[in-house]
Amino acid sequence: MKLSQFNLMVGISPNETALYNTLTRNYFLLDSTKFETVNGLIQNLHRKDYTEEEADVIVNLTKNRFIMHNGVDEIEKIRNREEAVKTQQYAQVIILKTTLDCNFRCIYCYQEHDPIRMDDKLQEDMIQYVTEASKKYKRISFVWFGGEPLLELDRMKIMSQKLIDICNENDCEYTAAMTTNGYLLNDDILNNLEAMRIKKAQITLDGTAIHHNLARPHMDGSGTFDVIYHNILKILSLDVDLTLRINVNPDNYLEIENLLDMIPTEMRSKVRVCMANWFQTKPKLSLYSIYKAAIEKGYSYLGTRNNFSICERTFDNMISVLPNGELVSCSEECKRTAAFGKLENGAIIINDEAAAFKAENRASITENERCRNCIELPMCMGGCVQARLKKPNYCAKFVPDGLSVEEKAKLHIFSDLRFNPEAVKRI
Amino acid sequence: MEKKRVNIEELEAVVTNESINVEKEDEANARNSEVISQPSDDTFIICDNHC
Repeated sequence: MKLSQFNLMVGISPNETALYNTLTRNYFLLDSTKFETVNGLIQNLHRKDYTEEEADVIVNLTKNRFIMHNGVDEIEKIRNREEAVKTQQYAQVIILKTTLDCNFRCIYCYQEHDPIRMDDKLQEDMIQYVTEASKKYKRISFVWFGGEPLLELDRMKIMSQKLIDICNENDCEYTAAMTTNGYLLNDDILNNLEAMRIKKAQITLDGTAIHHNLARPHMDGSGTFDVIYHNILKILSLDVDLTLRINVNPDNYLEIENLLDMIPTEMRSKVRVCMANWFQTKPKLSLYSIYKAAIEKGYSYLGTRNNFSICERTFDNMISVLPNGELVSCSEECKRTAAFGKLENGAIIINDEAAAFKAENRASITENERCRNCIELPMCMGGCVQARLKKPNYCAKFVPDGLSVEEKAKLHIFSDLRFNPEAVKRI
Repeated sequence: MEKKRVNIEELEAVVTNESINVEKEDEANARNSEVISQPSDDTFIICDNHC
């Protein structure tokens, strides 16, 4: 028998420690007496003989995948899950940037506000593409992105109806999500979200008004906080799950809890808080204490399971489309020079860059020796592919949230204790 | 009275058996769950760049 290479001991409180596994996300809470027993076994698993209590603990740990027989290859398990995700044939993921134009001028933005917008030709090409894809897959996952996607609202409405009709005809599920700055979410748009099947939205507030308005001004220089805040309250009254993105730097760090207090308590369970350091912030701030505060205040926490994927780029069945129909590798990529192909007449036309792109996507992170030996591998899966390609020694530790693996485990457990107490197991 | 002790060979056999059962359970779950590997909505939002 052997220990999982992904076991971790984490102090939860002065009286409790958790034995946590980063591959399965299983954990046991241990009081101080049980900790002595379990830790003793983990430090010295192979003995001549065991008490009956020790033997029972070992069997229990085996059933919960902390201990296994010597033939188990955990890295192979990760590789298999990674491959299954990459090659899944269930859904086609489509990310459409309706425009690269934006009505905001966020001070940290990496986009160049190219005024290009999608046209009727791309609309028809996309409809043709979805017509074929909906015959092949069980779900079309459509993501509206930009620039600011709502600058093309009329087109979004028309396209949504056509895409939904096509999927209905082909017995294919259609789901949609949207990343928006939230400024244009007027009553007309809010009333249309259900018809457009947009069930998930991501909107950003970078702190309370004074900090947010400095970071995310309107293109005319005015503040945007009040409009977005009230739109968020409106969207939370609908059947839409919200991801509240908060970009953190040393200036707004202390204001985040005040922002979290502004959302009414009864609405918070519909809000998944996603915080990240400004990418310019080095070294990264640990966001542990504000994530913990968010859980205590009743906000949903995202990091309770492994997806074995990093982002949309993980999937073979994904296209990320610029407003001119060109294809790029992920939603972050906006430069037309990065295009590796084009959506034309409902088909994907690829250029020479595509082969390299596909090859990059095919490589398993388990081939990287450092990652293979890292306890965080199942949780981070190597992090951003783009970043890894740019920097061969890139490591996703502490990016983007400044959380250590121990802190991630603790937040998972705190989230369960707050929202899902029946999942909390004790020895 | 001296408590009963379990020798390592005996325990290894139990662990191997339990571990094989766990493996089979995991494989069955992976096979039976078509949705296990499908894109999650969470997939599209965790990026360290800003929107």
